[in-house]
Amino acid sequence: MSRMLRVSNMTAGYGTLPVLRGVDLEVTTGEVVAVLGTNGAGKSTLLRCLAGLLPFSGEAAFLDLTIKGSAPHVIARRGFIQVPEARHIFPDLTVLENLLVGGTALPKRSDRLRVLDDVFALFPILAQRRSQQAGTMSGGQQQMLAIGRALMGKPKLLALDEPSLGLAPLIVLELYEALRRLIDTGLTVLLVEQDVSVALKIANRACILEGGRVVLQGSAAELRNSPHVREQYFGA
Amino acid sequence: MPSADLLLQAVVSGILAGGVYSLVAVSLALVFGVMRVLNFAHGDLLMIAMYGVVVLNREFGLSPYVAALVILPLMGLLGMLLFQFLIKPVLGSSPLTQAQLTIGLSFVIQSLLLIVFGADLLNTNTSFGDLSYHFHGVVIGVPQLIGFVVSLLVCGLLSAFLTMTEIGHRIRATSQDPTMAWLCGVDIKRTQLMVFAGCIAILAIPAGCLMTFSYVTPSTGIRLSLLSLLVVVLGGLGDLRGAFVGGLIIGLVESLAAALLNNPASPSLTYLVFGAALLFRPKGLFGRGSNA
Ligand SMILES: Nc1ncnc2c1ncn2[C@@H]1O[C@H](COP(=O)(O)OP(=O)(O)OP(=O)(O)O)[C@@H](O)[C@H]1O
Ligand SMILES: [Mg+2]
Repeated sequence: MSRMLRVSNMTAGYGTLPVLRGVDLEVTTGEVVAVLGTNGAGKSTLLRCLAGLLPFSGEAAFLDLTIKGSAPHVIARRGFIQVPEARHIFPDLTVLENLLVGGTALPKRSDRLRVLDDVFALFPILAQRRSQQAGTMSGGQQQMLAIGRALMGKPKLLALDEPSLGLAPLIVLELYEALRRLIDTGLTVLLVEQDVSVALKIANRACILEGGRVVLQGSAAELRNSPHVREQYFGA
Repeated sequence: MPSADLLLQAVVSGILAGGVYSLVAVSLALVFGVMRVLNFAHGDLLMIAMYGVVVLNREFGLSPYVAALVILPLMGLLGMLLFQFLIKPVLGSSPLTQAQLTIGLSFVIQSLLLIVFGADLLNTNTSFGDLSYHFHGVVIGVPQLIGFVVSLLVCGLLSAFLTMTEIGHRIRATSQDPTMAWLCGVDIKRTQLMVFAGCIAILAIPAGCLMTFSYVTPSTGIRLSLLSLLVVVLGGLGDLRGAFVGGLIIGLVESLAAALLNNPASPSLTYLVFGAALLFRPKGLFGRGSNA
């Protein structure tokens, strides 16, 4: 098992307000790692730093790429692709156009078209709605589109920021079903979630972010049984 | 009250002129959509191309259309330089800073052209400048008609490029959500550079068309800048469809105002109509704004 992502002592914030205070994190190939934490813990800030959108101090490397100083498109083209919080689909583009923009990370058009077939197979609704304006789709369909768009870049590491946010329980189930199938193909995933029970079902490992620090990490089973997690996140 | 024939003539002339305005406005709207910078010097850049056409016509005897094709790549190069040294440094800064910069550019261009060419009205020598069709009492100038058709054609090609090619999709994505486009792997800085250069290059086409039936002085630029800004705001900032329709409307209003009022104050009617339109549709004709 080789290491895919390594973050050490990452500190970042907005202006003078510190949000991350020395985060350490590792993801190895083939793993699903969940980052859990309450509102405002800094989960999205962590992903923003890793995407190249926010400066930070400390170290972060994806494969052999140093993230610090790399532009977002360079990180994405290297194979670390994110589905940001709140989906951010391109509302006036059609479903197909959204997906093709996601394929920008792949230089060869023939590769993009091949991956497009895979994405349509995973989310048949996207194939049915390919000519629909993306902004007119339902929240669940938009989330599938956001994930499909990220997959179009053929990520080696896929980061998802709260994919279940604002979706009906049945849709969340359907979404995680699709994620499960993706992971079974060997995709490495960094998953940010507030829904701890859903996340721990799909993750191999997880870490808990509180106040900008990783306060706890371990295997999914360890965290499920940890008194801290039971108390703070399951209310038991 | 002017006769029906005169009104019809004004409508036809207005729409023909409006087509050229549409193309100028569409390129300005695209620049705004992709980099969120309102370029107050767009008409002045168009004026540079018009002077270029005059020079090539007078010195080398090129027809304005051929001259436009020669100038097009040069305008693209100018666009690249302007983006690198003027526009890029102010991307993301306050609209006031950006406006100051591009208004400053407008004055610099006007002054330089005044120094080089003087204040005279300059036009081109062509063999077809006076050709026209007569049609139920309405005179349609051949150069005006060609300008209209060419402008519409280029607008259509631009629209096809933006909707049917993958580069076009990336440009529209960058215009809708630049950060997300960046996360998708789009090199947004390069996209902005290419769009700016492309939109400035395109100005060679309306420049060539305008110089077949109109003249240029160093104050032409500021008039065209204002007019195209007006159209873009009227159309809904960054809305290409709105800019296109807005161009036709402004051409029409300008021409009707001249026919109805027949006095030097007639251009002010254009601004009045513009103000009224904004009162009723503050977000532009199609009420969306900010989307390409
Ligand atoms: N653009 C910003 N400017 C200033 N402060 C910000 C900005 N974005 C986030 N913050 C602050 O940083 C802190 C962490 O925010 P972040 O979005 O990383 O939290 P999160 O863990 O993703 O929360 P949630 O679960 O609600 O998404 C919060 O206190 C938030 O108010
Ligand atoms: Mg968040």
